[in-house]
Amino acid sequence: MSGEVAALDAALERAGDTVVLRRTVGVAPVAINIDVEVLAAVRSYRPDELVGDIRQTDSLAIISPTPIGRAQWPGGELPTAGVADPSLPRKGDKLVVAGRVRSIEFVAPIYIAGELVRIELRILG
Amino acid sequence: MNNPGTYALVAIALTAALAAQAQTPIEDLDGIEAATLECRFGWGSGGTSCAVVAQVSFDGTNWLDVARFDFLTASAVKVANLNGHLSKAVTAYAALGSEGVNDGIMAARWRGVVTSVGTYTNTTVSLRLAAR
Repeated sequence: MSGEVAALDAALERAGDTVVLRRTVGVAPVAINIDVEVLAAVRSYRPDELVGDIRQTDSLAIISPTPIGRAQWPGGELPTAGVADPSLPRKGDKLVVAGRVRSIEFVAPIYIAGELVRIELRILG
Repeated sequence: MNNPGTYALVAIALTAALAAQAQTPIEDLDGIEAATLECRFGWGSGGTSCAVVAQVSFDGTNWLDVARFDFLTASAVKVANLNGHLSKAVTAYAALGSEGVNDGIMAARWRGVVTSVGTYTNTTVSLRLAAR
């Protein structure tokens, strides 16, 4: 694990909230939820960040790849063409923050020297 | 064991027929001593049959069936528990038939393989492994 990931993990351990990253397969009543608990720093966007279609009700969540890798989330998947890394959250996944299910709208993985060190999520609602 | 916990071996929406479709494996379960498997089939409509097989591998290349769950056109939840402390006589390996179990075979790599016949609609199937 790189120093950047270790530093993020330590920061989230100190100040992060436990949230649930959720991928849902199928639709109700036969939907399957694949959950993993992660620590996240969740905050509202500042006024100067409200550009484009970012709304006041949206939030920015920062998570570490560590718990995702540890849990091997989302588990077994069909090898799907076009999905480079199934373990990266994607649009349509959910983040359950303080009991509220929020939709992930945008995912910004940050790599340093080819290693995934941080994942930023724009969540709606 | 390393990394005890619950893992999703399979979690898919079934549509067109699948021919022994192997999912990506769960790895690094060295030292696993027991496994509980839960296979959940949520049927919507259509389709004919679906078989979900849990497999283990010692080398990452060759896979052995350890439990098989079979479904038709009704929702169902099926479970199996496998125990790595069993004493087993030497026996020839055979792929599993319907609802079969090869108990006592524990390896660090696990995966699910799904075979389905017919076109299912609004149907999902999951296989979860509790490794300990």
